[in-house]
Amino acid sequence: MVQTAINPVSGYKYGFNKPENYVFKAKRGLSKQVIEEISWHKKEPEWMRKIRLEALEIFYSKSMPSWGGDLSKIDFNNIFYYIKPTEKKANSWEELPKEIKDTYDRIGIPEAEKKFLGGVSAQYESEVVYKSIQKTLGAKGVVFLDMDSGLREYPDLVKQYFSSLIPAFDNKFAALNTAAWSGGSFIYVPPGVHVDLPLQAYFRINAANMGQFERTLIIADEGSFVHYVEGCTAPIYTTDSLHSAVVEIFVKKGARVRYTTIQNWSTNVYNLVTKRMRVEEEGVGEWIDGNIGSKLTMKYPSVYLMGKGARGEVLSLAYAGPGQHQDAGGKAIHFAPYTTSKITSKSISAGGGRTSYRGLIQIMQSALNAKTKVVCDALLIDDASRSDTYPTMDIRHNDVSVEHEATVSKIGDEQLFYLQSRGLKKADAEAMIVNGFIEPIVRELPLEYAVELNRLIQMEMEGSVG
Amino acid sequence: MNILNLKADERGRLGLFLAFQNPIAIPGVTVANLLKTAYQLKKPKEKMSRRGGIHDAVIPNKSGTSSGNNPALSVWEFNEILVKKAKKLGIPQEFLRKSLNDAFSGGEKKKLEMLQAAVLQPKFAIFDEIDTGLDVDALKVVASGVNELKKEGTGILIITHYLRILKYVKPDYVHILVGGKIVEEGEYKLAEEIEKGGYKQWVK
Repeated sequence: MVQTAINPVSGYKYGFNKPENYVFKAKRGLSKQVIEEISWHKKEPEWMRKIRLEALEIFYSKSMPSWGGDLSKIDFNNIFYYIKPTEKKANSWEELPKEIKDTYDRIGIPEAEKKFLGGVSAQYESEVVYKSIQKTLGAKGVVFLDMDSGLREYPDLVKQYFSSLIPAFDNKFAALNTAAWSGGSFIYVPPGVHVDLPLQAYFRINAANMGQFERTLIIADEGSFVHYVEGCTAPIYTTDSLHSAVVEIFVKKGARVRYTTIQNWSTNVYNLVTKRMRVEEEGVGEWIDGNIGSKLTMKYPSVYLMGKGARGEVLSLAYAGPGQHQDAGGKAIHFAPYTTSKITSKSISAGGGRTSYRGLIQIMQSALNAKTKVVCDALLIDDASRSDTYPTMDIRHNDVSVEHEATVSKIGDEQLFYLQSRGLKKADAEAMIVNGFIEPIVRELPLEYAVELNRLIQMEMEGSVG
Repeated sequence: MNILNLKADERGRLGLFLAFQNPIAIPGVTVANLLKTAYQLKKPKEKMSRRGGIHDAVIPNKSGTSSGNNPALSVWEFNEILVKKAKKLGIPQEFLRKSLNDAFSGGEKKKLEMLQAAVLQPKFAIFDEIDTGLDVDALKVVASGVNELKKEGTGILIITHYLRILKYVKPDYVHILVGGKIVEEGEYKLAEEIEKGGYKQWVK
């Protein structure tokens, strides 16, 4: 297969790719046979094979979503559903194949690891190939594996939780993921254990036309705490590619899970992801979801507040430049009394880009004294850009507190003039205003992500102002 | 040099400074962040060759830190300069970490404009009604800031409706501007005349 490294014009920072060197690559396209091959290659138990095949049937039976963004250009038959990069997984940096190492060098993983990381699990193509877990994690009983290893080593846990929060019939893309999943992370935190350093994983797509269907399962047992950070950078290709992940998180009584994503797919990727947390009594579930890249993102991380006093929070950040559509937001569903939720969305549209806030607040009759607040602010950089808000509230109880605030603003000429009079060029002034606008979300990010995000915004603004 | 067809940012980098009458709020952008960025944009050479400069009072030399090569200034070195300048103007340190002109009182905003001029040390600074909304103590502080800038060689233009700031900042020249045109020129005495008799004779 011939690949072309593309887009010399846009100067996309991570827009490079590496020659492919794969051990096994399933045929292009989706079929029962391809799914069976994937399962066979992974030497999976029979029950998982069955789940996959059933999900495939559900995928075929479901129609494409008619809302959200334009999905008409996705050609499911022109995608690789499984690629296995190397025979064996590496435990240390030195063991990695040189090409993979070079790729990571360019994103700067080793440096980052030295400083902050508790454990790195980097996904190259469809499978996790590089992983280092600090000994301390193991000593505390914390399990941090790629999902395939998780299935092999903890089949009972996986069987109990897998697909129980996001079943295949939830939506067409959840079905696709359940059928074709590969890679992703499996995390179990025992009762009372606090994982102090954020667990991080890096994802990349590096073969033209391949879909990436990682599957993540996190179980935080009673009174535990874990922060998982997922960051994506992807090279740019000439043909559209698909990323469709599923993330299921179980927050037990009194536990707290924070899940941070900075998504920076190249602007030809469809990013269609289902993320959900189930929060039990007095538990806390937090999503910090940053969407900067991709052609189209449809993603609404949700919290299901099942136990009394459970709390959920979604911080959503979206940037849409030329040709991009970010359809993002969050959902909070209150099932129990005294549950609280907060959704904060900040979106920026520039150079004709489009952002949509889409959110759902549902308060069931059982959720006495529930409290919820939604704040969504949109910033438009120019007249060619667009922003829409689609909030849905379904309140089935009177004794609740519901707040909703929404603002749309344009970058003000007065603000620009003020900063420019201090010597800043227009693009820099715009970047400064945008970075100020998203500051309330950025300050929640780990330091290196905050720095990287500010730089990305700077680069994007320079590109869009031209 | 004709600066009329230059953009605002080009004028700014050449050493022109405008202290705004109503500084606009920019949420999430801190005073310190803007000032650090703006400070680094100024080339040291431009700062040195200030017209009419009495001393070449480049801040880094004064504080004995670096050679005046702004871009090489570390966050900590710059912070030192900033904090020192803020202290002189009676601006609490925590203000520097707050959003620009957001949730500040009118007087505080004016002081922050003064702080920016003090840090950036422009060749020319225009103070557009810097005295409105200031109590007498704040007025004295701002006036001493203007005087210091002047001493360091910055050309100063103060736009005002009142005599009171001119008691603390003695102008070399006073101009009366009506409808965008200078209709009268004089010295400090002219300002005193206006204070007594108003603008009647210049406005028809």
